[in-house]
Amino acid sequence: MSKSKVKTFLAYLDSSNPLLRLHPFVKVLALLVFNLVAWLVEAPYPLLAYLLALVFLYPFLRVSMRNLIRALPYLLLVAQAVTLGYLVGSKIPGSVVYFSLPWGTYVSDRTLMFMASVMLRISCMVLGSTLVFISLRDVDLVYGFKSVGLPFAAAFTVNLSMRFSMLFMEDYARIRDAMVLKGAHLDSGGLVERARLTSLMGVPLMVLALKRMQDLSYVLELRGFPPKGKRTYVYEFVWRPVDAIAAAILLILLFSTVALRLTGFLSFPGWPFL
Amino acid sequence: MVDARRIAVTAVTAGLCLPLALFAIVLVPIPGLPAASGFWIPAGFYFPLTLWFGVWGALGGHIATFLAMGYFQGFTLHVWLDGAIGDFIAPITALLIFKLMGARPDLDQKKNRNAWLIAVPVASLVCGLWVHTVNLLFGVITPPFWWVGVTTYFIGDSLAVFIVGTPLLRSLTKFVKQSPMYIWRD
Amino acid sequence: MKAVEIRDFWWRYPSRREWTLKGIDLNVQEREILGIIGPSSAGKTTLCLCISGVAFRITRGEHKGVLKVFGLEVPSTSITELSQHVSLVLQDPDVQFVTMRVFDEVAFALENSGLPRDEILERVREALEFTGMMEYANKPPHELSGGQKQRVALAAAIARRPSLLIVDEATSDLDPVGKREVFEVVERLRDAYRLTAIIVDHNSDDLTKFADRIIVLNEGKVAREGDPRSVFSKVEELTPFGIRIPQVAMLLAKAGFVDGAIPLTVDEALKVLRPLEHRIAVSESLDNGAEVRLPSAQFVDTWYEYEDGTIAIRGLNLKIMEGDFMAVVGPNGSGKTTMAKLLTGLLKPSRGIVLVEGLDTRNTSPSKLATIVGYVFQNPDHQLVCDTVREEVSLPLKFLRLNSEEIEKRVEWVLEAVGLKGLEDEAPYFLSKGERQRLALATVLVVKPRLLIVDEPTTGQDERGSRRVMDVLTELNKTGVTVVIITHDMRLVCEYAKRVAVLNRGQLIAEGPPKTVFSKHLDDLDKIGLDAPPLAKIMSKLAGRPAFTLNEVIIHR
Repeated sequence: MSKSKVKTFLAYLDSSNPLLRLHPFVKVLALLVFNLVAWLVEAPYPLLAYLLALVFLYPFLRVSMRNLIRALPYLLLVAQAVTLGYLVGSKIPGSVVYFSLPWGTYVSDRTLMFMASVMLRISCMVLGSTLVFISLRDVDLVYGFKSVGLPFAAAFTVNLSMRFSMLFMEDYARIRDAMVLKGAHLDSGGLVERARLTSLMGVPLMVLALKRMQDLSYVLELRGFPPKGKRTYVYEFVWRPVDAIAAAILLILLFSTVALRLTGFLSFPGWPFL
Repeated sequence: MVDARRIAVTAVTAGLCLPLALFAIVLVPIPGLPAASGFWIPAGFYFPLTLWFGVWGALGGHIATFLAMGYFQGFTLHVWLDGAIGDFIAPITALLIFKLMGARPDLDQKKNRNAWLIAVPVASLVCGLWVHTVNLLFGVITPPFWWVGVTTYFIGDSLAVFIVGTPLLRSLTKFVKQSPMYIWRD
Repeated sequence: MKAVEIRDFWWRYPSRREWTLKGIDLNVQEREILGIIGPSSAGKTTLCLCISGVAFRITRGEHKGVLKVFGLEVPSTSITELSQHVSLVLQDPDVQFVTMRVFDEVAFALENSGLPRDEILERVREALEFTGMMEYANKPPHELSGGQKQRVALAAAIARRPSLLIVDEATSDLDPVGKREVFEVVERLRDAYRLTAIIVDHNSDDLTKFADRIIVLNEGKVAREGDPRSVFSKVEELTPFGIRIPQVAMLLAKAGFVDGAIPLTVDEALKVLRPLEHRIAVSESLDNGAEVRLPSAQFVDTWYEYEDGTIAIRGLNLKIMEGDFMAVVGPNGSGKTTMAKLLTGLLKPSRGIVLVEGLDTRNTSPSKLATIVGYVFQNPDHQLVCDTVREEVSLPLKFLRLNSEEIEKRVEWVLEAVGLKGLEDEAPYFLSKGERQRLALATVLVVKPRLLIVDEPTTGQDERGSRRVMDVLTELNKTGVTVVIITHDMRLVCEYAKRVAVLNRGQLIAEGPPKTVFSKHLDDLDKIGLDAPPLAKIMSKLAGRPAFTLNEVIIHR
């Protein structure tokens, strides 16, 4: 790994990437806005425009397009589930009915538009969130939460969870190895047998977890956590003009979406209980 | 009130359940439903942990589910509202049922076993209702599929909690009782 | 001034009948380094947790008596105030890390205490420089070696500039170099910051070099107390406690130095024993009965590379003979555990071949190899999955589909062999660490493997527990089972192994009977920080060849 790379939640980014210098507040705001906008917009064409804008942001912010590919398998699976659901299990009236099914559901022109809207909405959420998480480091999470008034303990607990998940992954691998060496066939056998063996592996995992809870509570207490008074934060994030501009754009996007939605411009009549 | 012990319970529960959730997604995937599993193994852990240590265990399950599903699906509002909140509601429901029935998690008395037999399906049903209502609101499922989703969710989660969680409660509650974090004091 | 003042102090954990600490009386003076030794379950860790104050906040047990740190009544002082004076480093560094970067780890407690930012930066830099970890400031702590991890834990502790540092068995997983590094940092801290330190360790050979005073804790009481030279001068009185007594002290006792201030280092011992040189000899018994038979397992130009590109094994050529008792030694990260996993088939060689009884591990499943090779993991908690000891030991036999009569017979035999008879219906997680270690061994032995690999069989165990495990292995070896142990404990290697394989950075740098390795390759071992035991060093200089046990030392009267 080159020294100029920085580890984030989802990737390694060049240390010169502008996203890394963005104020954590802007990142948290972006996460919120990207998702809320996708949720508020129902009409397919505005959603398509929004999706294209998000795709364009990747090269604009020097984030490799390969990160989009990692989202593709999930989006394909969603597309599969959504398509199946709407083709065989919906009754959305439209100007043209293409076919009806014996159990009373049918597919109209609006069914297809509706399907497309759902897919676009989920895609927008995934692409927007991924863009934020690609640039998010553990310190961003702590400072981002703090900047929006959430307690330090909340962000710290999320970071701590990820730190401990690494320990448990190692434990899990060792317990699994131990079971295999006892002669357990974990990769073959029926579902019931596999479930039984999995439940056996639960005991040592849980025993380790219980011991670690005790040790971790000692460690945290000894290191003054949670802080009783004012806490100092060694990292300093300076609010720069670019942060102000980014935050302003995000807020404008959010408020204009709310306004347009209230006027009915972005709505899809009958959503979601058609 | 946040203190070191409660943070430890939440973080360790989440740390434990996160790899198990990833494992469950890979082990028993549901075709067409990404980042979902027909055998949600972490539930078998955060149910007992919530019954032993209270709401902080459920919070751990919530964080684990958000991070695990987010890793596959993207850390979206949909994932947070749907799976993560659902996995917080479920163990809390079970805990409430235990409180209401005056039961304890050691399953050594009939009353405790009955509470477990009621709490797990009820909690799984409540969770299933939540998850698929959110899915419906996002348009991910259509109204006729809502009941299908709720039913399969109810069966899958109940099975995982019974198969994985029951031996843990039966074997380890007497061990956990030594912990000052155990919430049931007679 | 007294750093710690304890008078008639008692402590009992919630829901326990027995008191863990029973009337402790102890004073620790400022700038003193106090060593605490004692058998398992003596109350050493509990004492550390009480002095640090954390036991009163987290565990909330029952206590009586007086416990003061720098004049503050510990039970009634807030942890915020206490933590300005006391830092505690625990045994497992992994569980102590709460952030993803070394820098953040050291800064964490300082940030919580609300110190000014500039002061935090200054203190973190100083602590990292002091512990030699500055160059790792941006690394994730969990990616460091064992010794480095403990130095980070120490840096985090000393950045708070405590007046009292408590180190609770923080060196038990470390190789000799890592161990020495940690002790040296504590000693330098004492000199630089007028620090008082309390160090708990099972290895008295190392501890005595650094401690000003030693206490022996036994069954919750201070059984012996004094400067190391006087405490260890009474070897016979200490033996019943089941603790590890420094080899130098045992040798001196044998030579007739039974009272007063005895030497404790190799150099001091040589000075005292030189006048008796003509009377001291090493018996002819050479090695621990090495016999040449057929190879049980064989590495042929074996390489192993992990997915992240780390090459753990580099061109290993080694034969493990049937009936052998081989010790695999080497510094942390030298490839010992990888080598063991290659034998079990859990890992397949990237290049070359590993043969186990003629089977190529590349084409044989681990579960098939499990009937030949048994592997006991370092942490028994990874291996124990059932509700009772009996079920635990029966489980592998059920996987083999043996009949219930045979299962019953083997369970009886194996529990007898490892000394767990009578505990059949106990829950494994209620057993002591030593008992769990032996139970883990039993779950492997019950399959009757012909090649048994035991990873760090004695880590964190007292002398009595260590000997018990090693005696079980020796007995098994006598019945024809090939035994391979992975260990940092050179005393055990010398006393029990028939052959030693020394690994460094994935390469075999020496191999042969212990006496040959420890006499011919002393320099190589020194270079990689593997010290020969003191007795071997002393006897090499006095008698021209190493001795591994006191029985081999002959002192003519």
